[in-house]
Amino acid sequence: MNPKIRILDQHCVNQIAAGEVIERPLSVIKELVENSLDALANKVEITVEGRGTSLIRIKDNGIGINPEDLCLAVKPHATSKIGKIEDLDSLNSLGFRGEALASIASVSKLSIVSRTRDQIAATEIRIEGGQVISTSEVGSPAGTTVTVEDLFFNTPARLKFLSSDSTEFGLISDMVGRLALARPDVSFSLRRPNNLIFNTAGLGDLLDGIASVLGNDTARKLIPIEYNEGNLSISGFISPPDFSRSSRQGITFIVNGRVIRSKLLNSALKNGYHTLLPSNMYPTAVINLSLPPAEYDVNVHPAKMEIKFKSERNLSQVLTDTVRKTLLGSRPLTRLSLVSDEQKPYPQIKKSDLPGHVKSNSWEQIRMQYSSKTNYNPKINYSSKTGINSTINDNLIPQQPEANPVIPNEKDDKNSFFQDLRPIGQLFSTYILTTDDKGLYIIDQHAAHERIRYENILDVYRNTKTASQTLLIPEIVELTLQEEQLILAHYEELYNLGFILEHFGERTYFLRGVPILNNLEAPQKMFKLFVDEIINNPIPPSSERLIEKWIFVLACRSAIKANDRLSLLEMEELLMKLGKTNNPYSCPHGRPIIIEISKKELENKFNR
Amino acid sequence: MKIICKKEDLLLGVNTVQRAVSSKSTLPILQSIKMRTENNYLWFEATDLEIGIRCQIPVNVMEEGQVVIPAKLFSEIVRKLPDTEIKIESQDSNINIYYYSSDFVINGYDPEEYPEISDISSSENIEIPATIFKSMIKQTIIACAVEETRPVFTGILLQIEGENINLVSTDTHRLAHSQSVIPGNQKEFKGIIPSKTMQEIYRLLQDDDILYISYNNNRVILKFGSVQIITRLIEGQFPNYKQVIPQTCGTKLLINTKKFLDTVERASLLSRDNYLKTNTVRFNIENSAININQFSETGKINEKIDIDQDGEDVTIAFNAKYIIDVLKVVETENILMESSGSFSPCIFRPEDDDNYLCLVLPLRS
Ligand SMILES: Nc1ncnc2c1ncn2[C@@H]1O[C@H](COP(=O)(O)OP(=O)(O)OP(=O)(O)O)[C@@H](O)[C@H]1O
Repeated sequence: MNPKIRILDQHCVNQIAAGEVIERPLSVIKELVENSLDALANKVEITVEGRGTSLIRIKDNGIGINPEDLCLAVKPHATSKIGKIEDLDSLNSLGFRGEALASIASVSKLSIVSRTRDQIAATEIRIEGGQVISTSEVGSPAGTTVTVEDLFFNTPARLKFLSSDSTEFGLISDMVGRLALARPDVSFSLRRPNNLIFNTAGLGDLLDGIASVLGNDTARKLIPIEYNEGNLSISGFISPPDFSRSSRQGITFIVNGRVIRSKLLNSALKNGYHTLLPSNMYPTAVINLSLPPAEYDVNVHPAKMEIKFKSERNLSQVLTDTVRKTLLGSRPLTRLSLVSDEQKPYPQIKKSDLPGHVKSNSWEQIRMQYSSKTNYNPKINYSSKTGINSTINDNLIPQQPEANPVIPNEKDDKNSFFQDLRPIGQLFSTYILTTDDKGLYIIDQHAAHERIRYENILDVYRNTKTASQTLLIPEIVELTLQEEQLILAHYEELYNLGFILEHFGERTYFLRGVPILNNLEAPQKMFKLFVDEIINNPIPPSSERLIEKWIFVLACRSAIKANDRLSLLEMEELLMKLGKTNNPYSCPHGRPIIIEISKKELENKFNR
Repeated sequence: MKIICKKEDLLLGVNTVQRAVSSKSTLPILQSIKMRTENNYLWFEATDLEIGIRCQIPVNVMEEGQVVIPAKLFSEIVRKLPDTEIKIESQDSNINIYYYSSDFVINGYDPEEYPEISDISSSENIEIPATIFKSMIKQTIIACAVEETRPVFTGILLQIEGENINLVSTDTHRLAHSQSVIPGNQKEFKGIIPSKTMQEIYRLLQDDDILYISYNNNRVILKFGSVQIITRLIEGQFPNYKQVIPQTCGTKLLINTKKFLDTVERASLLSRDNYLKTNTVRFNIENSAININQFSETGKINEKIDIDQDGEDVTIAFNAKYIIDVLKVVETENILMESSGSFSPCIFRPEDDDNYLCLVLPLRS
């Protein structure tokens, strides 16, 4: 028997984050799909016409709604998911406000057809602008189909505010893609009239889902990430540094199955790539976090898109560390593909747009490689893979230039890799050619030396306390209220850096000492930089991070340059030292140090 | 324009004005030198709009006129010219340089477009003997700030009050103050002169020159020999330097200047080349000796210099460069170092000479 739908009491209603629930067609999709997921559906079919205002239909095979509850479901604050506000601390569902259907009903022509497993016939309810028009019995399989027509027909202002068909649909497919990534155990399909945009197999394999949503190419390159400690676990995939993009578009965060947006997690992720990626480039990542619902609050944003974590600092630190460890352990070599491979835009709308073109993207090879680590639900049995997948169209899978994806996470991989490298010679007095008899590796000598120097200097910095040059005439700094709070919160860090601050008056401070860093021309400027950086960063930077810009300069100046001739002995030394660094793969600015051309690729190129 | 002159005079003119030529300007005309005739002289002029330098050389003028010529090219050609009589003649914007039976043609700019280095009409002149001013510049220019965040610190304050003349500079890490007397002067002046200008004055001033200074609100003109330097003054309030100089100090040390300099330079070799390049030097002063015990990744140093100590022991650290700078401009055999503790400003001055002092702020760690 399905749980009863009840109207929440006023006290509870008052505590739920109020605001606009349905802003654009995308919101309708998100709310309805989440309802289907809450109803334990494992198949969700989405149909969208135009930009979603003419028709949105979501069909699921979930538990359905009791016929006697159907009228109640579309009332405001009617939900079966919580009874009192405390239930949020153990929330297992995506919905909890009892608002979505009511909100949708009031701005559209809505029809819900639903049948529970106990019922012989389905019940249909039709509502226009919030008024029930009819209820009747109809024939339908178990599950719920919600059809939303003429969205915003009675709120012309909203309609005017919407963008073009393609923009709105782009947003929709982006969202459906993310929802599908959140639930690889559910089969999703997104259709326009007459054509299938994409579908996922729903077999519980995340990499499979990534291949469907983000493309095979991406799926092939991503590396798995894993963390399990206490009540927090992190899983998913992240891109190696050489597979980056210029926006955050390729990043999806999922908390207990809920797709969320989070500045905090975004910057924690980016921090994990620190010095591995140029600052204006972003990784691709699908990251699942699972933690007890009591550890965060979903009830902060009316669209449930943002959540507030109780221990933000700890969480972001763990994420950063995990990402970093994964990346450094994965031998992130830049591969020089002799066959061009382009990065796919996200969301993907491609050949399958054509009518009748059904495809599946599951990619056996990858799954075999990672299957042990990436099962969303380990109980899923791969052999049950039939149906849609039987129409595999091999031609849609691009030919692979390399034999294997990088096999990550070998502990001593890095060391033994560098030990095996021997220099062959120098190219253009700028690159060192090396080999381990498995491939050809081209090393940028300046970048390599810069990395070595950078880590050396950082090491020394960590072990030395910076002296502070006291000032004859103190610099007067005036701070805003927000700045002052932050400065006070980081007072010790500032002091350790060498900044001596003295309170002078209301939000006014004397800067009486600055770090003695000779190559840094204006330490006073550094102070302002520090303040800016603390303000602009959801995760306040460490003193080390701030001093880094200066260390970069030192490292860069003292490193060998392009056009410096090296003897074989010097090259060997450089390789040896590079192998000992924490990250021998990219220079401190995030540019690659080492590029690989595999033997296989060469053979391909020579048609052998 | 048509003139005949000697190569060495030409070279002198070019060398004198060349440093005023803008090195980075995007305006090509600012990277050139203007030459114009006046009576039987050729005036060279160059400016980067902050500083302007003019100088004249005797020539044989056959046809009056003026030209503007790319500085870098011209100066290199002049250097390479043979030691002989040179004829320069302009035709439209072309400038022909004739020597022996050869010639070299340079494309010049329209002289009308060259910025005017306007004169200062003032009959008031302050006269200073070159030797005094040169040594004052040398002693104070070391403490000018390089970075431009606070412009007042990139210049040297020139303050003339009757017979007293003062030069003061500070980058807030140290302060240098030099004073002297110009007998008979009654005029007053106060302004901050860019350190680049001071450098040029120092370079061009001959020991037997007399320097004439005249000024209006924001500009100063300095004349000596055949040279005129016009400079903008730096706007802003120079801090009250008298206030920050400590009056009494607990520890007074008399140190042999040369030995001290050598020691600090050796110690700085270690700290300058460490990874962090912090270049610090730490003095342990006790029992009438300065001890330096330092180490870095590359090595270590232990030094001891015997000194005359009057007052308490003190341990104090500095940026070695600042100490080296002051020790290099002090010419007396011994230097007086006065300290009031590890965290207080320390004063360095020549032995028996109250006209100069350099205040250096210590490091705190
Ligand atoms: N697809 C569905 N299958 C089964 N039951 C559903 C479905 N959609 C809605 N319901 C039922 O209708 C109720 C009201 O749905 P509604 O979307 O308005 O609110 P909610 O999901 O409880 O909360 P929220 O407003 O946070 O989404 C739900 O609590 C659920 O019991």
